[in-house]
Amino acid sequence: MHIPDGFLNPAVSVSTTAISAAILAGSLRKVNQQVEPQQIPLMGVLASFVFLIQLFSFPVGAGTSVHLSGALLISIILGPLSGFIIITIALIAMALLFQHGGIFSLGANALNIAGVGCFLGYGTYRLIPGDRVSIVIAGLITGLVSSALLALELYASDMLDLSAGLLSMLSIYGSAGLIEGLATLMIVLFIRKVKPEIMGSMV
Amino acid sequence: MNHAFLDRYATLESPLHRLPASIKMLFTLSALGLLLLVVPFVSHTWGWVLIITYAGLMSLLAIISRVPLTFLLTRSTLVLPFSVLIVVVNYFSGNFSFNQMLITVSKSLLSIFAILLLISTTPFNSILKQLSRWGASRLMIIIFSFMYRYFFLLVGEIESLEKAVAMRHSSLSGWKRFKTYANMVGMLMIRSFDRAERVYQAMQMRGFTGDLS
Repeated sequence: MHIPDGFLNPAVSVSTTAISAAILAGSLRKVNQQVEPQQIPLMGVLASFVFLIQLFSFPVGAGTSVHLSGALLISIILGPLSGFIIITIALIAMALLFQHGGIFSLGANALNIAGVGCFLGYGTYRLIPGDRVSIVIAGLITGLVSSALLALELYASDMLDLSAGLLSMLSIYGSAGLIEGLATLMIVLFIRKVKPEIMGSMV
Repeated sequence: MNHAFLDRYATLESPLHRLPASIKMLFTLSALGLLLLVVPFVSHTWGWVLIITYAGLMSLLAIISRVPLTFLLTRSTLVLPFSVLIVVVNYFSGNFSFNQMLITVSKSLLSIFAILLLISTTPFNSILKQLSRWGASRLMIIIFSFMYRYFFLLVGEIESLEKAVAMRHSSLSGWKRFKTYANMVGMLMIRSFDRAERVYQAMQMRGFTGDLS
């Protein structure tokens, strides 16, 4: 869920932007040191890919659909640091070109979607043995934590009643996270079958 | 395929389009700053004065820019599902007065409107150039420009994949449909990798060595 401008108070807006900017600067420094020339256009085209799948409605049956964030997928395929950069760029583009999200809420959105998806999601995927189960659990945990963060940020901005808000956010985005985990698993299995050499190609 | 549908009004001809990108970007940032960082700290009356002045200024700029108003207004309403949900919940739980509800919705609509006006009067490439002048990371700017350049090609790819799926299966449901869509996204990702490889070969031919400075 992308938070639009106008819902976070200045304190929340500034602090989340500072956190996300620090993560972004760290990731950029590390990736800049290690990036190989052919990976530069790759990151660009993958940013386009993420931008596209965030707009694409993924059908889940019963007439409903979800939008994947792609954070877990990109981190598993490339690596969490380059993943964070790519997802953040896609989020900025979504805010500027498609009016999903905002400028002053960008830090919060990057933290909730890219930060949680790339670092916590990827960490869970690596920590839990048995990679099929671990991808689904990573998706679920990502969904739960980023919705909890979203609820907290809105609560701190006096836009949401914490107990009721947390419960509804957790149930909606927890299930969206589970679906993202399942979809990520299917996509990763497909790529392993068709073009396994692209797995884990960056930091 | 329409080549520039992401910022399709950015190449119109108007006094606003002719202004340097830096001025428009600074103006948009300060307008948003005023709306989002100042309005919360003033009284409701002053809040409304600021919001109405802001709205008047934005409408004036929109008219000068010659960007179709219907486009600006319909795109701005994309924010409504989120903002209406939040304010209605807050109103009924007693957290918001009617006034607060209106202020919040107006703030979110006007923020989106300001961003739309910037993006409809300034080509995306000029925005990137300006960001780079302000010291944004070279790697980020390059990723941004690739993203912008290849987006419409990937849209073409996914359209052809969707056509292929529709031709082979007239109706899919449940798990099968889910799996087919996952494979489709996987295929799109593989094609993105292939595309990036061809792009890199073309860049190498023109002398690119990976030097970003």
